[in-house]
Amino acid sequence: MERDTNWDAIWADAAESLDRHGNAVLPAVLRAGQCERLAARYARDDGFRSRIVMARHNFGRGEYKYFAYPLPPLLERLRHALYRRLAPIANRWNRQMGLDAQYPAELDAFLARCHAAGQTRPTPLMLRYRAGDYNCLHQDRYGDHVFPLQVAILLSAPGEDFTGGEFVMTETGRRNQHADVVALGQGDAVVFAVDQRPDIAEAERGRARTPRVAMRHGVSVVRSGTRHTLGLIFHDARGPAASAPVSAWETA
Amino acid sequence: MNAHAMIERFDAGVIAAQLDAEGYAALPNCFDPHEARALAKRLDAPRDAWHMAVSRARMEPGSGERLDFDDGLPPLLHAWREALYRWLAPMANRWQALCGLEQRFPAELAAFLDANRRAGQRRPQSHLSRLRAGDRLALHRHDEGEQVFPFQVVALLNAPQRDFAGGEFVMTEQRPRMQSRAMVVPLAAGDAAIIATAQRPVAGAHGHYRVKLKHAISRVRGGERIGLALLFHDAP
Repeated sequence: MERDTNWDAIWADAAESLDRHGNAVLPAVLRAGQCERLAARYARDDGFRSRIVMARHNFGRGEYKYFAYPLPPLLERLRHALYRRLAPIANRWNRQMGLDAQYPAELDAFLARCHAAGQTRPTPLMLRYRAGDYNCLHQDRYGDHVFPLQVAILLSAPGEDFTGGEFVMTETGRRNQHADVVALGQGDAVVFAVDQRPDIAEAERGRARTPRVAMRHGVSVVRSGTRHTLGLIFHDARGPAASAPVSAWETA
Repeated sequence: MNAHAMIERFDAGVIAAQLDAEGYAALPNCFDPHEARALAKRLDAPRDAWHMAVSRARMEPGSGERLDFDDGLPPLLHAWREALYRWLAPMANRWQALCGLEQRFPAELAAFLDANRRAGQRRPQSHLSRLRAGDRLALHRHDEGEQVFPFQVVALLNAPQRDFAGGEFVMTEQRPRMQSRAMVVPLAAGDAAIIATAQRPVAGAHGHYRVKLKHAISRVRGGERIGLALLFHDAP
């Protein structure tokens, strides 16, 4: 994100797209080399706190690993920089939806809040899908403290490293349910709603209170090759001391 | 392409296995560019105010344009519908059995349409659609009435990347006590796909169980997408 890019314009477009569709693409957040180095880490055991095989939990097929703290410096920087841009949007969304929670301007202050509530385990993760793998439509909550936006970055090159494996979101509003497909290139990020967003279009039709749209995300079947993604979730997960396993928070 | 020649290119066993595994099966290269253009051109034919109003009323805002074949299917599609029905009826009956359903479908489309009429289903559902930038089609299924054929056919009449961006054909599958699954059906210009209309059998640890499906077209990001939906049963 250090290059000479007009990030203010990109974020203005992203805010607009998030309001309309609950997702937005940030092009070329990582360079190909950065993507490949991160994807290569997946095979290693160090630096991760756990590995989840999706089929065991009926989440789909494929697997993912949660990073351990301290995060790799690149991820640490990205998570902070993205949070700083997203917090004002999250605060506006919550006001529009009539929700009380407001988020501090800096990630560290928000994480301190999560940690004080027992949500201490890091949620950034890397996912690996091979031919035949997919991810069911779901929401990543992990506890009471939920930051309403999250980010996924495609580390592999579509068409070269894999085929299929589309990022799909569904939105369930008052009138009907829609499906959205977000096309990503290698290094592109998609910012998206964790579980709901304000229905701005519906509000513009003159409703007094802004209704909510329920959002879910998933990945369609990978037809060939291997697809790696990096997931940046801003709230941390409840620790093992709390009764529920992490997976139980990922509800359909 | 001639309906029989088209079907002979595909192995029924392979198609049935794909339908069992995914709930859809691709039929690549069903329309040559000339046929696709001829069908698409129907969307540009002048329509009277009444037809335009009906077309608008049937669509949600932002859903694009729909053209029903009010004067019957063109000969190419008519032949297709009959041939595909005959080909798919045994697969449909196999699915009925796996789903634990008693209804069976006759071998010929004419007999099935007679049963539709007796059930009060007289409104043909096949149509062309044109979605422009910003248009999309919500998740839905065509399963009104007691006569619902378990398969329908969708086709793409122009080219992704070249003629439009976005506009993916998406299916969702809702399984009991599990999270839903989303599928993206890959379609190139002239490709068709057989899809499950509303439900399908899935092999489980204790026999087959039934899952419910819907389909949608995702937001068209640019250009215009021209599609075809061919249904075997009529609507009430």
